[in-house]
Amino acid sequence: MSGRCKVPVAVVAGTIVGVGGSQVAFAYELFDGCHYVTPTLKWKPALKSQTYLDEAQATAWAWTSTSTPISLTQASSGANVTLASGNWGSTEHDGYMRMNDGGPWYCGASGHWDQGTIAWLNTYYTDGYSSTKKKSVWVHEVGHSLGLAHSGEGAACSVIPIMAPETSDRYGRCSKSTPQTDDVNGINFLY
Amino acid sequence: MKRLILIAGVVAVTAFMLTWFVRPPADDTATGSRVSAPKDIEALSAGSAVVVIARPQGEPRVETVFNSPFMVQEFAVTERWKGDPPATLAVRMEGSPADNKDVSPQREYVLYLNPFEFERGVSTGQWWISGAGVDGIFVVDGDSALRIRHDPASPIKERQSIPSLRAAVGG
Ligand SMILES: [Zn+2]
Repeated sequence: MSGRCKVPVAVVAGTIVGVGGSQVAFAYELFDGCHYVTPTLKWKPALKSQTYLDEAQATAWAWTSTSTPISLTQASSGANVTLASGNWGSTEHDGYMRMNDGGPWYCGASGHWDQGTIAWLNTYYTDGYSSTKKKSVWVHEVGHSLGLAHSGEGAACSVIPIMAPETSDRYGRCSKSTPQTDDVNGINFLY
Repeated sequence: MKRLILIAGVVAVTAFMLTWFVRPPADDTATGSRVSAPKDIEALSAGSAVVVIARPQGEPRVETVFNSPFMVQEFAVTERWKGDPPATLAVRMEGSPADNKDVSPQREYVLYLNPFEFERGVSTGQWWISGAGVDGIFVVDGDSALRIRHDPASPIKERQSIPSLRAAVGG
């Protein structure tokens, strides 16, 4: 299982699709297929400083404006997704997705998240990032919240998804900060 | 006979799909965004302030960051390959001790480390495993070492000989 490309097999709507090479990415790879029950979602900010609010709103809009059913509306209560920023230290991760209880992801019995999720920016790194680079990390983490796994690492920039796992790759090499075709296909498969 | 083969095929495909869908929760690398990743063992070595062989000692403790657990485990250094670290190192790892059962005082580990910080340039006294806590920890297994964290995205080979790891450090 080592190497730049993940296993070149995706399970899509009950069909096994074998695909080779690095030209195709796989945002279809799911966390057990786990996702929210509805694509109509509320989000709230929980920010280290208000300087991150513009990026949080831009992140919500980046998903809402895709050709998918996803709608993320800012709300002060009942949020499904929290966009949070805080200092996790020098963990070499600039973003994390966590469940509301702080734990890593796990799926409810119904195949859906049974609690809210938190899309974190690690300010140890992101305080030094441009607005667009922050958004690249946050859109990626919210992709996890919506149910997408990593995919497309090292893919050509023309097809690399926002779910590529490394910021140096997704943003540094390919300047991606919004959902790409493969991400949109993944979401439309899930919702 | 053809029907039997067909049934066996369907069963195999279904079993494969089940394993795909019910694979156990992955570690944090499944949902974190990595700043970057070393492309090979030489890059991992070059990006680490310290490379040692060390053995866990004593009970781990847990520190939480935003309700997420991090385990801090003391290691006694038995060989220094790079840097001049103290005799014991407090190594910080993602997850609780239950998530890190593959770290055992019965075994020795090749560790690629950097000082762990919350504030740039200010050491906490703890060490972080290079390669996002994933790539830079190998368990010693005879003449070779096996990477114990299984990030499928990692380009670092899972099993390597001790001499080749040592050679990649240089010096
Ligand atoms: Zn991620």
